[in-house]
Amino acid sequence: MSDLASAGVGAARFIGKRVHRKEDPRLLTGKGTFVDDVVLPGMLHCAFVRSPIARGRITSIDTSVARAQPGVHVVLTAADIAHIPVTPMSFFLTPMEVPTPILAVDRVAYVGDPVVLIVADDRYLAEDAASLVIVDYEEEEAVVTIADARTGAPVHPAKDDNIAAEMGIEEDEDLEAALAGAPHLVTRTVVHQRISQSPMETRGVVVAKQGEEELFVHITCQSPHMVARYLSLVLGQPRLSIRAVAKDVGGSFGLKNHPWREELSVIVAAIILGRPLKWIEDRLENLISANQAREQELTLRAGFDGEGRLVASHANYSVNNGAYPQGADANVAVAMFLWSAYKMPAFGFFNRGWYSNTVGLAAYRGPWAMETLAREALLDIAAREIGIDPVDIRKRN
Amino acid sequence: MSEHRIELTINDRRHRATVEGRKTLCDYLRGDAGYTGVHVGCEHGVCGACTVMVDGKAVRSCLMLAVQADGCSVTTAEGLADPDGTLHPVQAAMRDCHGLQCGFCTPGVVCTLASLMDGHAAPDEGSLIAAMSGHVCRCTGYQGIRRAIRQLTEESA
Repeated sequence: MSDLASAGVGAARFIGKRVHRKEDPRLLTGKGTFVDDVVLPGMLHCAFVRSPIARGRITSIDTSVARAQPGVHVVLTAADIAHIPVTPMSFFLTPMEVPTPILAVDRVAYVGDPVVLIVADDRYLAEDAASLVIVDYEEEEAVVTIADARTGAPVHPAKDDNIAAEMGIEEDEDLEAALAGAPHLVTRTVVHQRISQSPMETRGVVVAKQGEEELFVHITCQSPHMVARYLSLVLGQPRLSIRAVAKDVGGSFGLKNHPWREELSVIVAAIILGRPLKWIEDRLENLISANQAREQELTLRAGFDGEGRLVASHANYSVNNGAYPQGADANVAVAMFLWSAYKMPAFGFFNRGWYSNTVGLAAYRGPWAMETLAREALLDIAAREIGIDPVDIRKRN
Repeated sequence: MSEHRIELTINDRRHRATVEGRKTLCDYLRGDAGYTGVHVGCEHGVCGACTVMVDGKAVRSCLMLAVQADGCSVTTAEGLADPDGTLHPVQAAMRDCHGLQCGFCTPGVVCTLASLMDGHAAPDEGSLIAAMSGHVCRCTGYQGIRRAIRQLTEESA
């Protein structure tokens, strides 16, 4: 190995050495290429008019003043882009469970729901014009929390309830009997708050239609391959050759797996307009209307025998899916991993995802992770209640 | 919409421009002057990504108007290395100590640390660490930046 190392070839030359990263010279000197650094000739800029209310019916949209502003090229509502049908798909490339328009149609379902897309010479003018769009709403009482969702009016008119996804068995008689019969029964609920991925670089896209058969998309994303595949399925235009590019990406943490409603609106607008378009989300938009994660609760029950050995367990889990999750999700991974390292004779779970009038669910690193918190906290509590060492209770199981 | 002529130096180059009164310094630097190394993270002065040096002092370019930089000397992360490419000591220390991952917060961090290092004989590790309270980094957990600061202050001690 030392011969190879001294010869300067092979992986051996890196063993035990500090290795500088290849990307640091450009990133440290401000020469990276993030999506807002990309400029195409003739590129125009996008801004959105967004719902200020969490839930309601759109009764009218007046874009006449906005359209008349100098430097404004188009002002688009859902009706203006309906002739280019786009069907968003989930993160798993499956159909969405509920109709998911890319611009709001007739109703708004969360604060920040994009209603109108403005295209102008620059972002300043686009935002000026956005402030001149008048949208009238008939506001309705919002369904916000998981508790609200259980009993509140359906967020999606096509549904009778707010259950986005459901897995498991709500009540298993045999399991209940095992739990009831256990010498020690410990129950705890863990509530985890909503998290915004908050990458330092917000979402953004630069898109250009290049002739009738080519689409160029430079997008801040976690995988250009996923983006290209997603777009090819979602746009439903088999003749369109899609090139997805990402050079430097300023963090994502699950938010930028695939384009979502705003990015798709901008792509459709670029196809309609035939001009390159740029949309860069600002922080206000990101914190309000970029999909978020977590907001989950887990009630874990575990029955132990007299020596602290597990006899049965049941997990009741709920996660807030928001209005338009990137795939309706009951987070079954939580149930899958809960007792996987332990001897568990009888386990049942009931997981539900809930629609609400909040911004939709997206990935965030380690979505199942609260199972560890809930289980290990419960085992510590059980050890104290039973009167044995917390290390011993693990060893016994 | 008022328009104003400004003249300023950016990274030792003289620039002239006509800008709206409301145009922020960061938008002018990025869009008009072409210094995309200045990053916009929040437009609220909270995250620090937009930090540049104006007349030697670290400044939030998102909270400053371009017209306010008339007659000033602005330095961005693009202007810190030597003309022959040798990295500024802050940039070198960040590279040595893995003080960056995605690189989006990095130009702001580098400008803040450089503004405290430059012209100071023996910068204090504590003051550099304290200055990091003005920078949000979502990738590194800050420990690589702390190590870079330690390396910098040990080198110049």
